[in-house]
Amino acid sequence: MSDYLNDNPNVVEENDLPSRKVSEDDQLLMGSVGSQTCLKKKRLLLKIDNSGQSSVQQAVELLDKMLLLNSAPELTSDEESVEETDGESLEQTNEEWEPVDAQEIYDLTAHISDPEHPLSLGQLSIVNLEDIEVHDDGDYNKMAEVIIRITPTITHCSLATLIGLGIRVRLERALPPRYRFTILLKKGSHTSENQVNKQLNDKERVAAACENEQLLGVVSKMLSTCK
Amino acid sequence: MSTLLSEEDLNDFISPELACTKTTEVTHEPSGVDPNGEYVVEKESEAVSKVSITLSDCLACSGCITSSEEIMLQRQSHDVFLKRDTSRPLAVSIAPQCRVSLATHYGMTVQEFDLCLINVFQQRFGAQYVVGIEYGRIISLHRTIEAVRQWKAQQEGAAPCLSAIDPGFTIYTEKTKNELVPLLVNVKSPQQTTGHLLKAATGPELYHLTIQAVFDKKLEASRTECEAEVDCVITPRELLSLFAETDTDFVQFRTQETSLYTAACPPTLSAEISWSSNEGNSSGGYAYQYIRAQQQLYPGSCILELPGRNKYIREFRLVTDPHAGGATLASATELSGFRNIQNMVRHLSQRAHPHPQRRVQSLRKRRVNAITTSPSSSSSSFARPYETDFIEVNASPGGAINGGGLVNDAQSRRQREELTAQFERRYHAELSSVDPLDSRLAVPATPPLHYEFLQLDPQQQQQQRDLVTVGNTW
Amino acid sequence: MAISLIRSLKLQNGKTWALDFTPQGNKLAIASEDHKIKLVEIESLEKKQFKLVNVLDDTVHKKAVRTVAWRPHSNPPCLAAGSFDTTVSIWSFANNDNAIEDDDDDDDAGAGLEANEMDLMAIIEGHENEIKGIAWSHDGMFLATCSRDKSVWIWETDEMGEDFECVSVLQEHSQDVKDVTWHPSKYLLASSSYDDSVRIWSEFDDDWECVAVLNGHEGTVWCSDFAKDNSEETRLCSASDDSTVRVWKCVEEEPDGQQQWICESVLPKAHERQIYSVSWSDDGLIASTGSDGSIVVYKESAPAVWEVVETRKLAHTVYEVNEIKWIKVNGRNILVTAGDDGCINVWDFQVLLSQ
Repeated sequence: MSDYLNDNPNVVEENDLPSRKVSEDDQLLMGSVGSQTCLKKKRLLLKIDNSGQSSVQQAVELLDKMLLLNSAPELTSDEESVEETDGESLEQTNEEWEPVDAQEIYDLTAHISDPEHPLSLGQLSIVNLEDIEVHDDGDYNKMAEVIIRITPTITHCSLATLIGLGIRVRLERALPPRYRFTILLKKGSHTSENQVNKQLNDKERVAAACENEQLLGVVSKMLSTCK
Repeated sequence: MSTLLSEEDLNDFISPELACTKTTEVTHEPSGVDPNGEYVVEKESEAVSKVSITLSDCLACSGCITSSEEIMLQRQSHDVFLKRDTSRPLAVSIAPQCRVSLATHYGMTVQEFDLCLINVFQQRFGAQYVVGIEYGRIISLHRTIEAVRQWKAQQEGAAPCLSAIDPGFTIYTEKTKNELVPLLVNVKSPQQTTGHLLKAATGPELYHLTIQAVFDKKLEASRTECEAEVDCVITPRELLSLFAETDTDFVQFRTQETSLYTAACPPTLSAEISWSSNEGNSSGGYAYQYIRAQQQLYPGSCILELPGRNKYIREFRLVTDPHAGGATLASATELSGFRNIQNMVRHLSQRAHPHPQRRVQSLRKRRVNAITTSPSSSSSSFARPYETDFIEVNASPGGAINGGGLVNDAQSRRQREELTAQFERRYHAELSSVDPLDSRLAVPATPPLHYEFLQLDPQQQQQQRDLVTVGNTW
Repeated sequence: MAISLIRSLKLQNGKTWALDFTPQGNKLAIASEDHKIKLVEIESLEKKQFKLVNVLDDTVHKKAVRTVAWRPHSNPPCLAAGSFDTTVSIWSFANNDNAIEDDDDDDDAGAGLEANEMDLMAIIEGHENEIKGIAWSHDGMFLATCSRDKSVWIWETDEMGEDFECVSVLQEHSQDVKDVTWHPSKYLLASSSYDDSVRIWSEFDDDWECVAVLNGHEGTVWCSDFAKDNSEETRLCSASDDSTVRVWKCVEEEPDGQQQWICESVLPKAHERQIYSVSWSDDGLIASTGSDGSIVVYKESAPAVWEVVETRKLAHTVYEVNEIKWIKVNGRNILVTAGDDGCINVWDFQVLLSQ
């Protein structure tokens, strides 16, 4: 292990990572997502994720991509007019939503693998519970903000942008669209802090990166260990 | 550094702004190239504001200077020169554009500058030889003319061949338009040929420092097949840094002693020729000299000079006596600047590999047939660069006389163009001219000197294209 | 004044990046993440009727289509689309193939265009990274393209939009160039960049040169738009990551071609996050939108004094909005927005003259 260049002397054991004290699975899941349907979906996802096999993971990736690529089929015909969606009202307006908290963001990101190590971002203390800020009043109709400050293991680690990308992709896939994520390097943790921060929070750059097969492959690998 | 870098070479995650050696403009200390800041990989851009390798200096560097190239560049700096093994005898060569630029900087005539330079390198740095590069250029010219003639004989009517004298263009072609590599005229540049001549005169232990107008010359010298000929390449801007760091007051070495020319020239070469230049453009005049050489084969023929769509394209066309029909016998183009290179490579690539979108092709043909009434009459008065036998390509607009390594303190593009025009005038006015085609010239024999171009098969080319378009960075 | 939603058109899952109207204002081209270019016809604004009339050959672009632009004064209408796959495609409405010789007759006939079929006329290659923005000059003579490769390219083209010759490669930006936009009547180009600046370019000699650098934004400049009024003044608005919109004004043209620009106003802060798009209407209104999903409309109440006249939150529900454009249809001010929800939203903007 000491062969790794950015080996972190303080590797945290998996079991010692900060976690919610509630052990009830359902309660945890309810806390994070809220509705019964979402709970079902999430359970399913967890099952797939937990298997951790790359082939399954790839299938999920593929599915994700296909969902993105496929346009609504009813629109492909010249004859039909464009489907209308009512932008004025939102479904589920009256449903009760519990806000996401820092612990959930932590749980979503701490198990991402470091691109260089067989260790997770949590174990390497790249992601830390106390460096996650959530501004969310739980209102489904409003935007919510998540700010994560990450600590790269060495100050010139050029993989910082990749780690940040992995975190962003993970969160964007796991959480509903009302969340805005700001991913920052912790102050003083990196020699090119501003540049990395700028890149990680540039929507267009991130979107293009997600169409880069090479990068996507690496990111998928990083995310394959997520629980 | 090494483990991390090799990792990045595979999956280059460095974003361009972290990896890139380019910065915007030189706004302060124009002559001060920071010895440490120059090729630093990971540094905030604010800190690297002194260096400027721009795309016009190095075509290949727009987000694609890889770590390995940065390392290569690091091997070529005035720092490296200062740390050399001083037990090795030293030879210095200098490209003519650099002499004009530096003479302008020091307020000297080119001859005053040449003598001063010889004096400095002999007195201050113990150089055995200090020479110009015209010998090397004449050899490159001869070989190029032979190669173009062969190309024309074998490929009548096909694509033009392209000069490979400008390493910026060559590297760009190898890296991003590999399918055009077969068009490159594989003749080594004057920089390398001069190195060969110097080392042949002395021995491989000779240390050859050469002063060149463009940064890409460093990349050329770093090629495996070029290492034996050149040990270090610096630009005039770095030369100023070298003088500054060694407390060398250049003008103090001013001298009238013209015997220095001969004293600093190996006995196998003539000093007079080495410090000369030749007719044609200030980057070597390959296109013009090829046409001149062809003219010698056709008595009574005449050379037309045809303007292109902008001032950085010019065609020389050899035609039979206009009264006898004015048929084209040979043609060659001078073409420079990134935009013109872009149009050229798109045109030639398209010809080499017609676009997979067949629909576009057929549609285009139909429309062209329907609309244009092919005004062939206009073709005689304008350059048709892609129809010529040979294209002399330079990355810097206007050629090496506008090289990024020259001392050019201009703040705006217009000022820069003015200064370049001034350099151009001085180049033609002050350098004595030799005729490279003069059969009486005593040119030393050298074996053919060739590059080993990176050549990929079609499948590899596709992979390369994918890699380039995907972009290693995000 | 009021903004009201006329229609929301869901076109696909995934982002809609950009949109543009034909010069006639009857058709919309839409660029989206799914690699496709879609054409929507406005059949009747009153009846709120819109129709997806064509999805262009989706094998042409291998990645997201980021930007679209209709060529002015082109008959048949011609469309350029820029993609993350580094290329720009040029499309033209198909004429009746058999009647090519009768081009002159076809030109004024709207009937031949009913098919809504578009032919791929050319693919422009050259940029090394994703294309981020494209724009045609007012007369359709030049096409400007910009990319993450830090450069802006200017292409000259023939009447048919088949042959493109690069006339300039502008490399002064030190970072990703996000957007290009032309002056409505002059050969003056503005480019917005990740290097936080806007650069103004003008023709000189047989090339183009940077005549001004607009510094002031404290983050990526995503978009800019020239004022459309016919006055002598040259003004530009710009939208940035720093969540401000600025208005710039050219105050002096020097003999050497350089221009002096000043930041005339920073518009009242109405966005909470990045502003991705800004549009200056024919009658002097500025609209902006961005990451916070709000549409904000500003009016110049006195010279260089701007006020927010309308804010519409959650324009695409909780999604980000990538582009906003004004269009005048039958004298009505219409706003169209493209969002991450895959929708194009069409808005009516009523100006109450009594104010």
